[in-house]
Amino acid sequence: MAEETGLAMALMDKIRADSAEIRLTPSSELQVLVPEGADAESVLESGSGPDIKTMRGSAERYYFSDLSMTESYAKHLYRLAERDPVRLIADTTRDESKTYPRPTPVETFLEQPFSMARSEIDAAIAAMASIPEYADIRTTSASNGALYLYSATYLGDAHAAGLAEWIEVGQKENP
Amino acid sequence: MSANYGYTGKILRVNLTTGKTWTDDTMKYKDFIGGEGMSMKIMWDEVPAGTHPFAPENKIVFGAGPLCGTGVPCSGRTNITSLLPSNPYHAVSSSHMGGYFSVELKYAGWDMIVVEGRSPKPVWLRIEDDKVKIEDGRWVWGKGMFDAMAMISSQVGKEAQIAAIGPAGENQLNLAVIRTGASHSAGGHGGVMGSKNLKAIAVKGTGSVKIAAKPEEMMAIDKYMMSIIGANNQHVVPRFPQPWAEYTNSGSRWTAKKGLFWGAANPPVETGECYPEDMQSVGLRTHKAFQDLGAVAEKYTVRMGGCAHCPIRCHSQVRIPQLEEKYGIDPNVANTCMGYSSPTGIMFKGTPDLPGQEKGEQSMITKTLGSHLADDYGVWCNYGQIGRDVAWAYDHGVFKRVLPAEEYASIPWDLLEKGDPAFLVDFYDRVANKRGEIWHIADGSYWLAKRWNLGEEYWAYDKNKLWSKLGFPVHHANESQSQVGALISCFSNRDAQNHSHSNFGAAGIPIDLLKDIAAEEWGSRDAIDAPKNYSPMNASKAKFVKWSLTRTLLHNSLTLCNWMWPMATSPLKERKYRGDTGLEAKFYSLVTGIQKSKEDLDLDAERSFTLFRALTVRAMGTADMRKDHDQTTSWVVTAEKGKDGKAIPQFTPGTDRMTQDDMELGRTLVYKEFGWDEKTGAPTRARLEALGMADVADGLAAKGLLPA
Ligand code: SF4
Repeated sequence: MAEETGLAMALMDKIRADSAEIRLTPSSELQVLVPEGADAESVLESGSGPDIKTMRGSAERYYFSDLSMTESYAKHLYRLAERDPVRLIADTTRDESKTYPRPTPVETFLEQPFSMARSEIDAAIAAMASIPEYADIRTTSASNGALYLYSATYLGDAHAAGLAEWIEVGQKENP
Repeated sequence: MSANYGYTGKILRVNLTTGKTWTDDTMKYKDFIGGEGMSMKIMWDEVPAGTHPFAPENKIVFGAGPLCGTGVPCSGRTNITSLLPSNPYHAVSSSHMGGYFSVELKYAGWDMIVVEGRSPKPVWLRIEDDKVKIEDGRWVWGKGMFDAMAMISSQVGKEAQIAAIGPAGENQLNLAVIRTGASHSAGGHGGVMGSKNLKAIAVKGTGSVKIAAKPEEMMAIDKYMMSIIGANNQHVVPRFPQPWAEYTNSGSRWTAKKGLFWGAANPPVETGECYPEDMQSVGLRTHKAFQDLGAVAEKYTVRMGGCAHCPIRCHSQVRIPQLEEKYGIDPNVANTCMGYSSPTGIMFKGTPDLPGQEKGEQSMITKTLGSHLADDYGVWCNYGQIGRDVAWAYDHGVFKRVLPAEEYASIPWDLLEKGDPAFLVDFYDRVANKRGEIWHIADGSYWLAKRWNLGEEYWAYDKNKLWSKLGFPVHHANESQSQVGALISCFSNRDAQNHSHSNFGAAGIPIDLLKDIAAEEWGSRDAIDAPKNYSPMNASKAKFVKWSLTRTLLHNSLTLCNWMWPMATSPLKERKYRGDTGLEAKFYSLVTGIQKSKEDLDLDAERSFTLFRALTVRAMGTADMRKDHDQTTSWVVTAEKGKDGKAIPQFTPGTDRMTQDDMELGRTLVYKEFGWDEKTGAPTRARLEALGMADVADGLAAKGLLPA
């Protein structure tokens, strides 16, 4: 038991150290720290600190400590780690449409931590149009031409259009 | 009288007709807190209805409050109150400037300055502690503000703080500013100073403001305040994702991020991550040049400037060599918000970048050139309305119709068409110096519409953004918290300048959190709507309206910056993003030693706001405020069209338009909150007496202006 706790501590130290450097810890990087036959995920499942959070990716789990980053930021890193730009853009848009609620300027994805190229963003948005699971993701343009994305699950068309115009144009005219 | 904590206890009185100066007792006005509240009382007592703003009988009051000069965060504002020339009834109104003027005034031993009369020749006022002298000002009259301030500085010393007017004020334009420092302009009352032949007031103080509390008590509350403060406009989440941030908002003025610099600082300063707990980086959170001038401005940014005792610093100071190379003006420019954006409103045909320019460079040059010119001439933009009025007059053939042919032909319209900011050099000169007919654009919208016969269409056109036929535009109105912003604007005599509601709604946290806080403050989650998704009027919105109106007046009285205060939200997750709306009262009690709860102070502010209402009733000569004062222009209560050309019905997602019936209900509910007559919206005798203003009730009664 004492050994197990020591092992969990070592794994948590690694996660916390990674999080302090603003990176997620994939389970593959934890697995090399445990003795043969042991499973890092199970070690953490049986006992980890309240700050240690996890997200399941398509191939493995990712861990982070919320002492160093918020869940929302970790989600961005997780989506980046999954290397699926279409899903990243769609899920980020859904989160914003649901939470605030507001449409998402495509410029968001040019910024850190996404740092995507404009061409990559445009390609992802174009690809979404033909994939049924992204049918809720729509676009609207403000009168200055800025493109916004929104999820029709959470925002109506007129609402999204009105908000995009306000955020992009109205707000700047009313400082 | 003996010195008071917070207050100096003295008001400087100046009569420019007689050349007499004397001292008045601040504390006889103590029920009105300070700054704007006390100024309202002086205007009520001493300036009769029907006085013209430019008559010697009008008075202009420069007011500091009890918190000014004490180090309370964001307490460096100056309130200026007088009759407003651009208002059709010349109703009393206030303008506000930041900088260091009011703090220096307090250090010199004065809470306020009241100027009356008219000097037979141009003068400036020299205040060095208790030594006050009216100085010959003929040698600075006619100068632009930058030169005039430098010249007066050379006489009184560079440590003096100066409030001055430019040619626009001297020439008694309705739209003229009073400015202090490099970039702090109060719009609206420059012509009043000009009418008194008063070019400037220079003040130098060697004293201090006494504080009742122990130093450690002040330190503790200051530290607490610094944990609650956000970025400019009390935006409490960053614009860009940060590891520490749970939320972001693309409209947030918390623009700091890794890799964003004050690029022209030596060495360049990185704004960086700015953790909310790090007090030392509060001043880096708001990169205002990036916000106001665009990403292109990063490398021209020297630093952020601002007002005394403000950790936020919302005025960007930039150095743009192109201004010197192309236009021969000082490349060092400072300004903020509308000071930068109003010149682009005048250049309404756009300012496309020229070959070889960076993206957004021509717009940046337009903004900085225009702000320099407006600041030198002292022209006020009426919160951006001057640009929309230029656009309307140009596009609707008004200039062609009203300007003499020779004058029309002499105006370089080709520069406007091309988007060449050199148009502004010509424009501001004509306007400030009252050349030809075009300068009447600075009469303000009410007078302009009359003079140039602009017709109903001018008022009804939504993109003109005219809120009221009293001639003022939208300033955080229906687009800011639905009926709350809309109704706030209805109680004003000029653009509303109210940020108590708009900062709350734009704090950046999700609507569900805002609704939780709204329920705690105003009794119901329904006090606030999500942007562009409005519900009909209700009683909690009326409470929110009253709170915003009175809190803003409280700030202008204390004097605190309402572009930051009140602290209704905070960046702290552990506080569930709650701020502390009792902070004003805590600071007031500690500084003055007069114990007041937030309810006490809110009541004091309500007294002042009710007096402001009485002043408006008196100025307009009618008690029927609902009908004659509080109405909006028609576009506000007309359904707007969506992208598909179809009307978006009010109270459906996607629109921020109001309905007439709902606004009338809103007026009734707000009148009720204030205890005013619910039919007319005028203060009743009972309410005035309950607020200790029987004299005001008597004054209104004598003119038949009390509601039945
Ligand atoms: S936020 Fe801006 S206007 Fe307000 S006190 Fe600070 S610098 Fe002055």
